[in-house]
Amino acid sequence: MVLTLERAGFIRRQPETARSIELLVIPTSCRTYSDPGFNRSKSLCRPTSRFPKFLLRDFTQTPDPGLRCGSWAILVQRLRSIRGYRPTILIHLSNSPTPISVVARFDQAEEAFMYFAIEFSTATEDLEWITIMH
Amino acid sequence: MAGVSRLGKTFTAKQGQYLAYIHLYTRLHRRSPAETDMQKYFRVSPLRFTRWC
Repeated sequence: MVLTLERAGFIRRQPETARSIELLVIPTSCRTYSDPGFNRSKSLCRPTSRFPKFLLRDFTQTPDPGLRCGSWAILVQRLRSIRGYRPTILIHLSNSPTPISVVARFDQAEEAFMYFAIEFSTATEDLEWITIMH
Repeated sequence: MAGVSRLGKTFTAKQGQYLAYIHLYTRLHRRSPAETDMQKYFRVSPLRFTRWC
């Protein structure tokens, strides 16, 4: 895969040098919350009880895919910060007829963001809403 | 399902996952990932890792 990416011009490597991979392109779906337009202080989710039975987060009004992805990551981190709360999260994508189920197992928003961006790197623009269940 | 980079180059979904991994690993750790890091994360053998695609 590395050779393929290098031949395609997506990355550059130094021969015989460890950790020399350099990304030559930035996938549009990999934008992070440090990018312009991402408001970190924006309220993402306010559960009304300590253990909500389920919670919906609608992303359809959030046009920026990086913001959607980052919002999801921070939401997961906040849920993890509630002691003993390990909900199952259903991710609904516009191009998928059935939701994708993941378990919130991330202690840091960065971890959750990385997981989401990698697992759904080409589908973040399709993130519509999520359901959180316990 | 393919993605498009900002330069207009297209990549496959699998390639996008690798690019996303490299991008985010570099941002988080402030150094590039080793090939063994990617092999572990994507659970691929060294042979498959270098010859995939």
